Amino acid sequence: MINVVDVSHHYGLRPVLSHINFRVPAGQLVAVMGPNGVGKSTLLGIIAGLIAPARGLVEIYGLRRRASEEVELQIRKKTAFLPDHPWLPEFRTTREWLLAVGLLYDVESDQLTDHINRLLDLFQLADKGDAPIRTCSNGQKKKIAICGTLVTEAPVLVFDEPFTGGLDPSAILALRRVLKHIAERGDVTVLMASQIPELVEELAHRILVLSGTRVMAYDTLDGLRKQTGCPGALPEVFEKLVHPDTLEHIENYFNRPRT
Amino acid sequence: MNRALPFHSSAVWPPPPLLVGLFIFIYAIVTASFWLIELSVPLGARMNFDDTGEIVTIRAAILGCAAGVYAAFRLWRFHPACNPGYAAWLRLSPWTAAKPLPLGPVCLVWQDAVVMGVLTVIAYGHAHVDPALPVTVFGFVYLGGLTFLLAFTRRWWHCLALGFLWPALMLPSVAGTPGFALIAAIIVVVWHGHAQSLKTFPWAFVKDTTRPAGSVLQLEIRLEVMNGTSPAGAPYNLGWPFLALSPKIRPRSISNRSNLALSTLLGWWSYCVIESSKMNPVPELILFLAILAAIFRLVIYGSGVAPPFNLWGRFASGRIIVPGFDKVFLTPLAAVLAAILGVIIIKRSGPSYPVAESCAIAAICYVLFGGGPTLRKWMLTGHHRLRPPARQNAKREMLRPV
Repeated sequence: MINVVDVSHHYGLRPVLSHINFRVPAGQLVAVMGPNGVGKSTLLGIIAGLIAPARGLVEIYGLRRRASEEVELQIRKKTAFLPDHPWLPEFRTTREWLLAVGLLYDVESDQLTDHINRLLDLFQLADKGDAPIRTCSNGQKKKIAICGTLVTEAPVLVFDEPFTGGLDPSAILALRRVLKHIAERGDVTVLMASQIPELVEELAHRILVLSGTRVMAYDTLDGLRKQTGCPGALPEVFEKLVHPDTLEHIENYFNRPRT
Repeated sequence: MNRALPFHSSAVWPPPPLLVGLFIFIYAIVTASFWLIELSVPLGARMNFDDTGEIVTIRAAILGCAAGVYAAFRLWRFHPACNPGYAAWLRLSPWTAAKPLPLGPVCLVWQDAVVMGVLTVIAYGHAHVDPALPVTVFGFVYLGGLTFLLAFTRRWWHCLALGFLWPALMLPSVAGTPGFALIAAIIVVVWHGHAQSLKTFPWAFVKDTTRPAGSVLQLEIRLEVMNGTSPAGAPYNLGWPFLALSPKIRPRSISNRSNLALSTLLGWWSYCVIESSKMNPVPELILFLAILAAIFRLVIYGSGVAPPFNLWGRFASGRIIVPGFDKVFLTPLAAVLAAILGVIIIKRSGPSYPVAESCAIAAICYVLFGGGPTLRKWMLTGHHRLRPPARQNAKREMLRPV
């Protein structure tokens, strides 16, 4: 599981995250939501190990990030991260790259080859499997990056905006199904930042709402409904939580008499 | 039926006809040219060209080159470490170090005596140069090449011993009999190392020779992702974030023992150079080089990482010092301080300044190589921010963002 304890961070003068505390139980899928610039990517970067927080700590399966060389390597082996802008080796083929990533995470070769084939089929990349990555479109590259994260078979997956980046509807559907399956199976812990409430509503066990550097809410959808007193769908609950004035602003915009 | 082999354990293939022909051609051209020049001079004004210094030098250079090329050929052709194909074939064969090498030995055999004899006879009888020249050049190239091959086959203790013995030849105090003793010691170490290296065959690392040089990170550690190989065997970078968050980092930190040996060796080399060249004391140069080396270390450690927050962030949070990040500055600072201390000692050391200078260099190297944190520890546990390739000259890595 993932345990975030009193994490605060700032790059310069402005604090980005303040006293963030939450715990993701093993096997659950948690979605991180919040307005732009609220620190979602920073939080995921800290959990994934890219950023050392200014204060606080992150534990994954009871192991503290950056505590020691051996511990950090153990955590890295258990965690795979898909950033919002991954970089891929352009001159390698998709299959070569996925093989290398799988081997990096010690996935058994036969199982790996089979998994790669299934992933390529799932994301409609079979015809691009043996082509250099540079020949793929942006959407296909995003799919390849998603495959790279899934092929690791790591027990902790961290996705930063996995549904953006030019994915076509079939890829969104495929990823949604994969994440849903993972969430139902309960053997992989997933932390995902997403701005698409409909997908979050469908997939997430729990939702973490960040606002103004702090955790505004962390609960199941039903819990958030109770908290806000809003029985509607997640977009409405989210609006009520983060932008309580938005609906009023919209009404004002349309109903304001012209001068 | 036993079939007689044309070559056996005590014989080697002769040098390629091209090399022999090239030597004969060059030597003949030069000799013929001198002869023609001599003929063009009027009979009364002729002089003995053979005794002029320039001609002797040219002939000595040709003979020296021939001996050196032959020594290189002996290693290049017969040492398995120089021939990946030969090594691969040997690996599959039942050959062991107890048996002679199938293509012929690396150690000296009677054909070498014949070749050196011919060159010596030419040197003495025709070229009028020092007859010891071909043998001397052959010996240096042969022993020097074997020293490099010992390093290549990871015979570190022998390399360390040779690292101390070779530069000692430059010292004025070893001229004469001590010099012969030194050469004898070099021969013994090279021979023993060669025998030991053959015993450790097959060398698993020989196949890595095709690996191109990587980034400066590989000075101390090798990220497994950098060494990840495609099915075709070509190394490549796995991109972002797998490059930064690789779960495999080879433990290539320099051990204290290696650090001590390396620093002492560099100090010894400095001493030999200073002593043999009678160089004046240059403490300021040592300080300058120490500062450069400290900056270089910082550049290596700073490659791909950034502070967790910027200077304004430090002031804003009241954390002027971030121990988890600022520890990276301690060793470079200690190296510069050691250099300043060294400058003071060198200036006060009087005539024994070569010893003081070499000790200062050894101390600076020891601090820089061994001072914490190790690069591995820094990359895994340092309180820094791993930077995406956008800020790491990504074009060179042939990576593109999605």
